[in-house]
Amino acid sequence: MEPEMRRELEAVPDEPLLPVEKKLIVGSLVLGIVLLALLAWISSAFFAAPATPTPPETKHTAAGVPAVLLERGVRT
Amino acid sequence: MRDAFKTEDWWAVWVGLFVFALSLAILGGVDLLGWAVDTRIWKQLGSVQEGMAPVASADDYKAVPQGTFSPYRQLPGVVSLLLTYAFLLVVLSTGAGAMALDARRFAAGFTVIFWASYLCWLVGNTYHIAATPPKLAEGDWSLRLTGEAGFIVALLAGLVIGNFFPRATGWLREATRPEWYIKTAIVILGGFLGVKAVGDPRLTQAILFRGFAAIIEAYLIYWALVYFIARRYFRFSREWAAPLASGISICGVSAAIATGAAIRARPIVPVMVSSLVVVFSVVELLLLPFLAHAVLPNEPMVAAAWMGLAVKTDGAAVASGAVTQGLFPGQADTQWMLMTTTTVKVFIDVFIGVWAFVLALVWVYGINKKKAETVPAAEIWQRFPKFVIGYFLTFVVLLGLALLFRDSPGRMGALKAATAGSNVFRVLFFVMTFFTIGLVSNFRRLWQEGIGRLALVYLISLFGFIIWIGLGISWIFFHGMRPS
Repeated sequence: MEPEMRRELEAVPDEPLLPVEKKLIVGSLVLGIVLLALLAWISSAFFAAPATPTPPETKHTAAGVPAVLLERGVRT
Repeated sequence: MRDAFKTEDWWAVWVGLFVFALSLAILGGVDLLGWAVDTRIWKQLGSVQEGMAPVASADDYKAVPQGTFSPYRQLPGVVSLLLTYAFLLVVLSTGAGAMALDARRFAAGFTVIFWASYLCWLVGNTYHIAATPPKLAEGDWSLRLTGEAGFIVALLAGLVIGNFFPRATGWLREATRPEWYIKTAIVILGGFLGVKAVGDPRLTQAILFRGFAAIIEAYLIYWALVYFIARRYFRFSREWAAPLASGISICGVSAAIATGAAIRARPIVPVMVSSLVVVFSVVELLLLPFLAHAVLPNEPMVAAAWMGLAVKTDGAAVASGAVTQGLFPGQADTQWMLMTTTTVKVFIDVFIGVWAFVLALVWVYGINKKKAETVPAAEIWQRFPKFVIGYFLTFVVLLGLALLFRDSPGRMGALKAATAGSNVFRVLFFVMTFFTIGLVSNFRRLWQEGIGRLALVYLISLFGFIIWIGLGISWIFFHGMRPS
């Protein structure tokens, strides 16, 4: 594969950037930056996560089961 | 659907769902996975058997309702291990046969991979490597790496074999399938995380939305920058630059292949790009978790999301999430970390098909402009990673069951045992992923004549901005989240 790779890479033609490629690059970046601001705002406004540790009753067992669910059942 | 029994992607779904279904039988009063081997921390070479036991004897089985058929508690650990090996051998060889692999060579290769991986896992679970308080006795020493150290041991062992023993590596090739192993593990992981989500629905929603938001940014910003650099400064043609940009910026091998197909590149292009992706993803896997721990000591969720955004290939990304999880013991409920890395990575995979479709549109109608050529929307489905279906299915089923049973202690106990049973296999698939990633990572490819230009774009893009933009985006969406 080695000589083939060298041959392939040496034979790469020089192609100038077309306007449609420039539009793709600039469009992606602009959309990305706009969406970054928008999604960051949405996530903080509507999907706020607990910044401090959640209450102790939400602790989980090693298998991932919320301990509170078991404890609640045991008491009843 | 005609490929439903012919591809690795689909077989990850079938194997994962099969293990998942077996684990759920305990809810009906019959334990079908209690014999599987559960690996524990062990101290001395003479007592290595302490490191293995049937999962039915684990703490997670204590709340199983009386009357449940589960006769495995007294099984010797070695028998448990042999049963686990035999089970996986049969199930995976069936899949290999259906995928038209050489089933005999697969079985032989799998046998070596299973035992080598398990040995590494066992080594990683030794007391002086893995023990953390409260299991670490006062006055004793330990590296405190948790059992996840076994992942790194497996990776290093795989790297040594893959780079210094080419004949052995070639012999194992049929069973060296890190993508199959990790996708199966992710399907099983979905159920585990579904149960976990019940404990903190608000946090789960936040992780899902933020994971989704983070990957949109990754596509739009990463891809455009890498493509521009490859085209403008390294003078790559469109045929090379597009798969290279996808391979470096999105999801490694699968993205490079999907993009190559979408823009009708010759097959050699994504193949070459993929060989670089694999090598660099191992470098990331070995460096980034430790870097994340060093620079983000109080931000475990940012570290976890960063692994999903920065590390390429499913195997290496989720594997790095598992290693990162092991580096934050006791600081938070680190199982949320693995959920975050996996969520980000799964969302990235979901969008590969969409992105390939967009690129196909641009190439057909904007660049090539051949009148007879069209882009069917069905290509989105063709390139959709099917294992994601399995992941969301197990997630939703166990989330639903946990909500349904939340007031029934017996059933919740059984559910806990079910997740413990399937988790055994999830961990084993993880370890085999690490080992086989090492096997396929041949660093000598970097010295191949002619690859320098490709490798340089990769190096500059990855370490110049992809990693750092990924860190920034992870920080924006995940900082301050500290689940307990």
